[in-house]
Amino acid sequence: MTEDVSPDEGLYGDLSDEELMQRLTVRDLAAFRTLYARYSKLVYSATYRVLRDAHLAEDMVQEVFLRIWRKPDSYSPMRGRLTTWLTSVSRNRAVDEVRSRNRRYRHETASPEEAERELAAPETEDPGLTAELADQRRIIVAALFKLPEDQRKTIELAYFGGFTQQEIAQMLEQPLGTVKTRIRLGMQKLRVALTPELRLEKS
Amino acid sequence: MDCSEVRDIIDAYALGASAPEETAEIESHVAECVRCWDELGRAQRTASLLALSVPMKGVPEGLEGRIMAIAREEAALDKRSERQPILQRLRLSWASAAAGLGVASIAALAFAGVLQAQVNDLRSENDRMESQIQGTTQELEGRVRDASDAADNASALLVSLAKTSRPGVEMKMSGEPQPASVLYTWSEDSEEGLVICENLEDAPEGMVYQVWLWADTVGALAASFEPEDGYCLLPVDLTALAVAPTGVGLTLLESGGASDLPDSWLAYAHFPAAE
Repeated sequence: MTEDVSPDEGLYGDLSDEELMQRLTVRDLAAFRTLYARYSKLVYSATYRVLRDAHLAEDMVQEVFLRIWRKPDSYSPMRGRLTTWLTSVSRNRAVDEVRSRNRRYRHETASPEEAERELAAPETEDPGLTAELADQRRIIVAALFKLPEDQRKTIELAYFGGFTQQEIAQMLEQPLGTVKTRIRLGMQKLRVALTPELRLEKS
Repeated sequence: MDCSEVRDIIDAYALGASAPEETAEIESHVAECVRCWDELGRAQRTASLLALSVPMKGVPEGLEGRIMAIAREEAALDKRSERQPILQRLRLSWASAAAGLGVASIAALAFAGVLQAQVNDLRSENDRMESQIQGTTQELEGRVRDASDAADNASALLVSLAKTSRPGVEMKMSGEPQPASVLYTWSEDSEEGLVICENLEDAPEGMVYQVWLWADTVGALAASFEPEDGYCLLPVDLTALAVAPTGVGLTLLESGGASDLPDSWLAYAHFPAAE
């Protein structure tokens, strides 16, 4: 059978994330598909960034989307915007997955060298993202790339690598205090640079 | 751990990089310290924005189909277990809502209920036919497509209704007071109107209900129909008339109905003048 629901782009495309999430409570497949069209690329990319394995990332995307399909109430606009909620849920689940696998796997797939290779230069085009999302992404990538490289690298190893500060210190052969300082300074600068974005999250 | 110690590692915590013992200490501290709790919120929001910075990858093909197939199956199961009494509930909600709400919102409420029921019915019909189809005859496939198209159209209307409060007018019933009510509602951004009726008696043998659009002395037949269980739900194409229509009317006439603009109405309404 071919697909039985093709969302009317005009209609569903005009609905806000919150409205689409509301439609999920009445099991609206077209609303679900619209959300998938909007955010699958982002969710896949976030989980891939952590897992570095296409199959694992696919499974995770399936898990994340079926979770909102089954429990749309687990998202509340009080917790920030759907975009960031979705991506951080994806990132968190992916990190849990990485951590639950053995160390060997982790070190093979997410060594600092490889992590570094994976850090793409800021892209100018993001096909497959909504215009608003692409704009927001540009701002965040720019803020991240304005950090001194060692701060950015440390933050990325923590957030996407799923490593603790102690582990990062060992991997980079740096004193723990240095790693802590890099994280603190880097995050402070990001907070300042992303103030407008953070306000959006809160409203 | 005091506030300044907590602030030192709060970013690492937000990034998920604090050691387990630090994690426990931060959590017990922020449970009692509102300033650090607030600070943690900011750190966590910053961290969650980072997830948007990842290099974009193309989603593997086929994934959407797999996820949608699971969702569809679950939706079908749900529907089977919770079928039915939307129309009954609707009748109650119509009556109680009529007391306090404007025409447009009543129309939207009733319409949404009827549509939801239609969508549910069509979808279950779709499921039923899909399970029969194993042998794949073309005719059945066509019917499945028709049912799912109709369900999609109804869903789409439902979404448009949910989105805005639609304008609407009650069509005046002529003659004796009757239990029937007929509403006309339209979307502001499309060329489509809807006639919704409730408690409309079945057309007597040999008679037919018709909906007409008119402007001055020009009129066009928009639809002929039979109410179902007292209800009707008729999309009206406003372009049926060459000029902008100024009103809508309902007739009950001998089979075949009228071919020219009738001179008396069972119910009618003038559209509000454009602003």
